[in-house]
Amino acid sequence: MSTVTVRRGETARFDMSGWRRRLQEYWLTLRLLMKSPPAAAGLIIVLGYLGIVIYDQFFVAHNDLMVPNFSDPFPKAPFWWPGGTAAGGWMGTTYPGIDLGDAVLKAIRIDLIYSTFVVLVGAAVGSLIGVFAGFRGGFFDEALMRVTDVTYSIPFLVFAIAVAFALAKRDFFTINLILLILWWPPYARLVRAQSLSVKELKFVEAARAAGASDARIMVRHVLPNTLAPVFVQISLDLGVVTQIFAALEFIGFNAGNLFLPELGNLINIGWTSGFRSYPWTILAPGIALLIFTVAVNLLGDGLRDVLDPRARR
Amino acid sequence: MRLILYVVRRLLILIPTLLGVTIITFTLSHAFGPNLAIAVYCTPKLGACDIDNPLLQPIVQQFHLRDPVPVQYFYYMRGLLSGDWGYTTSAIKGGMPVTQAISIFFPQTVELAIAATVFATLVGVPTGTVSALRKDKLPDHATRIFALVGYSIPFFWLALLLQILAITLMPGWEITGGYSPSSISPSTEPWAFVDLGGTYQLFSQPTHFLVLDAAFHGSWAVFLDALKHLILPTATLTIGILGVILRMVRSGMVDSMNQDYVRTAWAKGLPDWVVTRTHIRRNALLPAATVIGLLFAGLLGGVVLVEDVFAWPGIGYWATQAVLGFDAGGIMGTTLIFALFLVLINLAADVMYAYLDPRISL
Repeated sequence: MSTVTVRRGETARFDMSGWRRRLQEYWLTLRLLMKSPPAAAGLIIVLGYLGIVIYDQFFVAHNDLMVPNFSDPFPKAPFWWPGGTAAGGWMGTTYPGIDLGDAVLKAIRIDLIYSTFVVLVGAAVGSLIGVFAGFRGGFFDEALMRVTDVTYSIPFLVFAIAVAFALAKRDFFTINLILLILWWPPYARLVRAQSLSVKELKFVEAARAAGASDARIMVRHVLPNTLAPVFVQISLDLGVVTQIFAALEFIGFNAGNLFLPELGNLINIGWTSGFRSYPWTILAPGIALLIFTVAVNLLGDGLRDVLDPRARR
Repeated sequence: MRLILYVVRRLLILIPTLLGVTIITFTLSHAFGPNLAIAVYCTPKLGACDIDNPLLQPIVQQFHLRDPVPVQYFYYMRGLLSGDWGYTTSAIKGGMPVTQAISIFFPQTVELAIAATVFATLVGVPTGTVSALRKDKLPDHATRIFALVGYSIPFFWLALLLQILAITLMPGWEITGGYSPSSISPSTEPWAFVDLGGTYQLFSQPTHFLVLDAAFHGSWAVFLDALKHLILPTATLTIGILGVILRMVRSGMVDSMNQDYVRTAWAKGLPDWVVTRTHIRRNALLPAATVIGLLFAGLLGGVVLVEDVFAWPGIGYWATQAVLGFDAGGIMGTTLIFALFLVLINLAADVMYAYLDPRISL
């Protein structure tokens, strides 16, 4: 009886030091990341966007609705635009009388929260399926490869349009559903490829010799050692998913809530209300989207250099 | 011989992929297509809505709705293989068979895709070479920043931005659509249109690419007009995929510059241009060749939005119209044709890579 207690204590202590070691590893990663100026710039910009999200989440009323002003609906240029008036905020207004600066900040919050959610769920589901397929092999593995082949063989945006059609809805909830359905295969492929090589390593053999079950080997030994490229992929995918949200809203998936603050929806409003006469209505949301994607790409490239030295260019 | 075996094996792997794609499109057209028709017919005035309703019999028979789902899928596949792809309502006012709509819209999309890929390759390979040879100098930094912005920028926003630029710099330009209606008319250029019962649709003969056909028929005004309309969509797609090509060429060159055989070539005293062209670049272009297949994937996604913004009469424009108009045939047809195109392009890219690089294990 007493030996069991001692063994439990030891495991607990070992886990503690494991956590400390992992934290130190993250700290090292961060320090290496900050040494490369582009990656540091990317990280700082992403943190800035995160600040906007937190600010809008807790300090702004009606943060999921753009406030229209029907008594003065036509777009007004901001003060820094040639011939602009001081009407509206520091980015002017868009149709119908929406304060563009306010709307863009709210849109950043919505876009970031939902794209992060989609990417994280996709990464979690895909990683679990991928490690299972890579570790077990056989029929399941083959089936997974064929399924991912199918999802890769349809251009993503076309696939999203098709699924939206099958669901017979074109609102924001549907976009999330589509992306959740479609976003796990890349991660499954990535983790599968990694776990194929990891499962041949000595420590897996050692774990099996020590009597660990398959499930334990998969989750505790193989999966953690496949995650480095997954983190890189997550940071690169954040930009892609944000753009897909915007693209789908742009082509008319805004049914149900025309005043949803979303960058693509804002660009769509600017486009349909005459962007040739009021160019600032598409400039502001587009630049917000572009800066975020550039920052996320910089961060992802930097992370890849730090986490995966073999792929360093 | 091994190459042929490789091609055959790739074609065999293609079969389950294409079956999966058709299962998806079957679900699309059967989940909603007949059901929509039934919903339209089943108004309270017509009495109880069930499968025995006499007014519904044509639909029930056409889609074999009394049979089990696998049998329905068999009939669907038989229809697909015999050229019966259903009917689209959103493509042209009045509707047309999906296969006819594909033959009208597909060349337009291919025209854009080819133009953008050719331009991006022509610009990307030399620029990437310069960038790698001047690594960490000013040209390299400029190229890398351009590449970063290029693959980060949303296609649809870039399209709008270029439109604003074009309007500001050259006012009076008609830049959307495939041609200016004022410069071509069905009566003077009958080769450029197809008569669909009163409405004329752009469908030029014999190559279906308006630019080439205008040159072929010697109508230089039409040629210039078509070229003018091609500029902005092509520019949008080119900027979007140029970033990927630049990165691939640059990283491939930087990799092969550090190889032993390159050091040997320098040590032998070969001239600069021989080493850069035949030793470094030829090997760096191998991965770039395969990336063109991947580029098409990105391009086909981007084409949807660019065609929508420029009202370019291609498959992507049709797809957005179809989803906004609840057109099952259109969605099914566009998805299937995009998937077929992409799968074949990827196959071609893989085979080309295997052919170019003898080291690859087939």
